[in-house]
Amino acid sequence: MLSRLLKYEMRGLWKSLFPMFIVILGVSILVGIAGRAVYICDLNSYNGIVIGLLSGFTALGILGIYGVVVASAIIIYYRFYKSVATDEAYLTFTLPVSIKAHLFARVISAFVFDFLLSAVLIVSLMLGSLIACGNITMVFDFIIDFADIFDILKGRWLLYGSEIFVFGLIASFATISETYFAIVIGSMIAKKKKGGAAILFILLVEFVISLIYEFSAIIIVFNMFATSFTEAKLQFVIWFYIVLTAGLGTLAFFLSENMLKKRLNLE
Amino acid sequence: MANVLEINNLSKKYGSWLALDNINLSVAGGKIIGLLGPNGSGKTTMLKLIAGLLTPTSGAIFVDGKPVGAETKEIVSFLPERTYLDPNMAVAECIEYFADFYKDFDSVKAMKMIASLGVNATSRLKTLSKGTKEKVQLVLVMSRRAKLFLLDEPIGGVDPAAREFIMRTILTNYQEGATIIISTHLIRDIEEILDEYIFINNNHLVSYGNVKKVHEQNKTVDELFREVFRCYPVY
Repeated sequence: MLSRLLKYEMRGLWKSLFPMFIVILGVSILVGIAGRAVYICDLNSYNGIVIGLLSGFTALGILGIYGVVVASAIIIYYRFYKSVATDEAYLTFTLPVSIKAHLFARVISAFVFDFLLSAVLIVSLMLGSLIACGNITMVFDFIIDFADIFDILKGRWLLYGSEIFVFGLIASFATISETYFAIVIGSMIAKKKKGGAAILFILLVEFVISLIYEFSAIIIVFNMFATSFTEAKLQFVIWFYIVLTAGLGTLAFFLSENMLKKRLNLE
Repeated sequence: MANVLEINNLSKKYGSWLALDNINLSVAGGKIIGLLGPNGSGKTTMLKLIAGLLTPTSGAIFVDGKPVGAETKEIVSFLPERTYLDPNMAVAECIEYFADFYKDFDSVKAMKMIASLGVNATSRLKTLSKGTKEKVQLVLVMSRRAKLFLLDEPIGGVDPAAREFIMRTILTNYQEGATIIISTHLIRDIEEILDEYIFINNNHLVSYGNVKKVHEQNKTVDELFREVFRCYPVY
């Protein structure tokens, strides 16, 4: 049953998000062209108004991409909200599928599309930069400059890169899981205006989680870095946050499951 | 025939409001049962509890001997009083969806019934009228070979022609051994197909009886209902 749930969830998300991916890529190309045009106009001492307009367009394009990314996240969460808090919940919860499978399928598919969205953003950034720079060497120079940062890590960039990647994946899972948890509580507590309640609880859950991170950061800074900085301490901090994030995400998942299992009330 | 539904000491509260109070019921397989009562008497609450959409405050429900859960949803086909399908789905996609999730779903039968409705299977639900959407939903629910059908107000608020289609769909898809519980307050329209009736009022199960026995007393269930639930105006 999980595979069938995944099939429909992935299909639904693909239908909604594929156009968004195309928009991101398209706008990136346009922003790249505008950026290139600004560079050429500037080089040839063209009219300042033209340069201003082109720069404005570039800035708007970047804002547009940001908007599309936010809209994509909203689509993912709105689909979940619809499936548990609107009339569609009648279909969701009459399927012969366990609550755990329902939640798991939705978390997994959101996670996959979150990853795809990040990949599309990176490709768009590269593509836009390539067009704006006019040649690939400049883009590679930028990447090499960026890679220089890792020199500070004394050749251990692969280790830290992998850790950051793992942290990114776990953070994505945790954010999805925590947001779903907030939607579940919000829609269960509110009799009316469930959407508003869900948004309120998303903000509340985010606030509580940020407090946990800030509190733990204060403890770490005072206890560990009051003395000398060592790589072992840095490793501890990275893995502490990986485990903390994974723990909070998993807790949110099981709390959502428990609430839907024991307190489901579609009035 | 073994009991398909067993309800023990079931109560349901919404906040402080008691929607169902200590209901006990045993329903045998192979019957068409009318769940009858005035508006707000607890009919929908009872069906939702059996379907697993509400959590009981106390008591227990067993469908085919199993507590309500993913396993019982395999044998229960529920038609709610609202349209729950994604309006962006095409009718054929809805059929594929049901066929994927319910082992007992008969796609061929569903397609035939959809065709008899004159609905194009490629049409998206959002392009259909409310009445047609409800009929599509009924077709999906009745195309299953479930053990227990729960139909919540299937004929409420529809025109006589639609009512006829609904009643025909229910009857022609009824299979030996399956139980159908139909909640309604339009008793006259469904009386002829009922085997048994359940009267429910003010959160209590008032009476559970056999329709044939009522007819033997030269009464109709509709008349009995009016006797039991008679309201007198207060001046």
